[in-house]
Amino acid sequence: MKTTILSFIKKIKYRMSVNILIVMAVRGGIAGFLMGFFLSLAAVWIPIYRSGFYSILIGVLGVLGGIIYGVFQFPTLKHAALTGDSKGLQESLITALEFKDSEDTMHLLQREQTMERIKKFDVKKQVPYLMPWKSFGILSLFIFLCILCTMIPSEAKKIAEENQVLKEIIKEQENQIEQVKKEIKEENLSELQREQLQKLLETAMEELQKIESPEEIEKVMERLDVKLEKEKQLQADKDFSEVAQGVSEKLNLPSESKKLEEVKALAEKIEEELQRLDTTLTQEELEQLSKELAKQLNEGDLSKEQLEQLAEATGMSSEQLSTSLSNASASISKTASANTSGNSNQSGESGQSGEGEPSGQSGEPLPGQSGGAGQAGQGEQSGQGTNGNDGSGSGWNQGSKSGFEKANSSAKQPEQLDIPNRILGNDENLTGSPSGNGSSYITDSETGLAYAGQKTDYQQVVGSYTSEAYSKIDNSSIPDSVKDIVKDYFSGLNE
Amino acid sequence: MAESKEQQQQIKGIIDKITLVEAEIGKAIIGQKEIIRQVILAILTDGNVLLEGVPGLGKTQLVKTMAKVLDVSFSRIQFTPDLMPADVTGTNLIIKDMDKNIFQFESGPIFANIVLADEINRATPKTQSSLLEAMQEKTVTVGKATYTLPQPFMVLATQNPIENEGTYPLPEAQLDRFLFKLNVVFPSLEELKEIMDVTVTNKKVEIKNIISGSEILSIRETIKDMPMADAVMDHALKIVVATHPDSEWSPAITKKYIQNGASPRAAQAIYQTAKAKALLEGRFHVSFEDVNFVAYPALRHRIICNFDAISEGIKADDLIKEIIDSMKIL
Repeated sequence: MKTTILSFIKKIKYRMSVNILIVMAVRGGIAGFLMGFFLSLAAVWIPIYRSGFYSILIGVLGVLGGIIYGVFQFPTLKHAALTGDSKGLQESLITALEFKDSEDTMHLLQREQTMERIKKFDVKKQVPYLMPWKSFGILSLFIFLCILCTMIPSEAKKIAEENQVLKEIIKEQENQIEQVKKEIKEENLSELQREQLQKLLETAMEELQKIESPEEIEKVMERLDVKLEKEKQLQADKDFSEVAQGVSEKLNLPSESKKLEEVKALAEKIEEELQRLDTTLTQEELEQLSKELAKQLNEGDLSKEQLEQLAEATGMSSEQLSTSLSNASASISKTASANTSGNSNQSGESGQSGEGEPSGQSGEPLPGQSGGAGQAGQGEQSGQGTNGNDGSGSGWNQGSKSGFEKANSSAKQPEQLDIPNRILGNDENLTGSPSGNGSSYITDSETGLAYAGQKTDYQQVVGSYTSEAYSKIDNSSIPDSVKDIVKDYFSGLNE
Repeated sequence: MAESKEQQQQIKGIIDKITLVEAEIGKAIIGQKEIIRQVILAILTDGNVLLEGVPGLGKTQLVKTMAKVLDVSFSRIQFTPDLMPADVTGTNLIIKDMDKNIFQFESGPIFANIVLADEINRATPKTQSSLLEAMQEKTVTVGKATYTLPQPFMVLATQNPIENEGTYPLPEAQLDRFLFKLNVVFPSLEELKEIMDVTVTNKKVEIKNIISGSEILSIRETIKDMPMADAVMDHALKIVVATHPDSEWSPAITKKYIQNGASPRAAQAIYQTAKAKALLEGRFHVSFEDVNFVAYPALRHRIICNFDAISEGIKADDLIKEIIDSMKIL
């Protein structure tokens, strides 16, 4: 009799527990998916990475949280008995439960009576499973709104994706730097050298934290490479150089690959320009190029490695390349000699003695890279490579050491820059050297060069201006004192 | 098993008898079924009852009829302003015994099973207090001697809610000794018609004796054995505690309108009468409904309303209802 009553109460308890779980799960789901909806709605305007996933996750967690909370709210046997009693059993269950161990006559009679009552009690009808349809409807609505907002495309979502990709790239780079920093500790370096390297790497990491686009990562790594190179030169230590080189290789600094690209481009340009040597270069330029090439070849400044890289880039063998360059050098020298006896243009003159190079000063590009190798340390961008235009750039100490041609540049010919009264600077941040490893060369000239346009006689121009001016002032009502000033000016020009 | 069967039969017999008692009383007292049930509950739980109602509602008739049905002795005391305590309890009289003058105790009308204290509020507090010991202790002390009153003993007092001039309201100490205070209401039209039919015609109503005093004492013991769950007991106690304004269980209405709450006697009254009610309904367990039902007559004379309640016309029953409604069972 006791067991029957107990199992009856447990049956009620089970049904109550299920109802609690259902209600709590739905409530938790409503709360979770409401928050998820707000998140996915906000993600339409605010960049939030994987907002759709997180909003659904929050909703699911809400449901789980509700279920877990519901487990803690499960009723006790006493509570279940009182619930059953409230459905018409008039506290017979709770009385039987409390006096279940008593064998008193009155208690026995009470249990018997309870047994009779529970036989007539329909548990399924009196304690039904709850289906909170209204709450289900609200939950479904929030799930729908959540999914709907997740599917709305927006600019913010694209930005979020891009930002995440950037973060991952930065993280990867930072991990590499961290790894390198650890490895440096085991290298055979002095404390100071190690500190310097560490400092450079930490600076690079700090810069990585501040960047806002993937392109800036390359620049950071380029700057690191520049600083490593400079440090290598300062230390002038073989061990340090090796370690620094190792660091560059491990970090896969962009300059290395760019160097290869430059080498390749240079080789291609050389191939092209070798065809035009005798028509495009001035005498002086030819001689200078010849000397440089010869110097590079004869004095072994082109390392075997560089030669091999050049060869690979051009598809020639090292020996073939070496022969090509020697031939080019000889050809240049020969052409230069042939032109020496001709009436060559003095650089800076207006080209009156028009034999030889008719537009020698017109800014015809030098063989070399379009846009020119950047003056080390100056400028942020390489020059616009179109004919006769000066390169433009901005910034200080942020430039890449070597300029490169813009992709859409239609310029086929390198640019010539005239820098009047240029004084070479001595800024330690400018780690390159004039022309550095670039392919341009510098010549000093005493007079400037004129670009483009038609050349006329100075006297003729001044003369025509003077006569024009005189005729104007004679026929005007300008005061005589002012006329004298004008006349003095033009007479000064004619002197 | 056999014992339980026997007891079950016994209890069934009790229930049947009480049903007959109610029916018998109902022959003479038309309507007032709830009043009759509550008076029976009181007598089954050794309690005293205060009946309040306007004149002519059959309060005195009820007590007389009850005494007849229960086959117990009955006495009536008409409380008047000149009534003395000795008139109630009895006194020592000087009598001549063998040439000697001795004091002999002459018992007063209080020495009966059922005592009707009619219009109790008309007597002086001194006389009213003569009932205190009898109602609580079931004894009477005169001089140095204490006399035990017959069992079962019950005081049924009546009072008129109107015509308060020249009356002496019962003190709280005396009110607290009444188990129940019952408000006798005016009968309905049908009931009034029936009353006329019984009282102003030659129709004679025979009242039979149904139950004896000793059976009542036996029933009292059975009622004490009735099981009561802790949850139900807690509910009863919380109701009593909630009548106190400074209690944590008391609702706002208590704090606003009640000056003093019920005493522990109220909890005893609720416990006993709820059990008796459950038994009379054929159950062996006490329910929350039983407690709620008996809470009204047990508490209405024990709650002292403050001036705000009196001025706003808030009655004790209204406050009890609010307190019961504020109790959360689940």
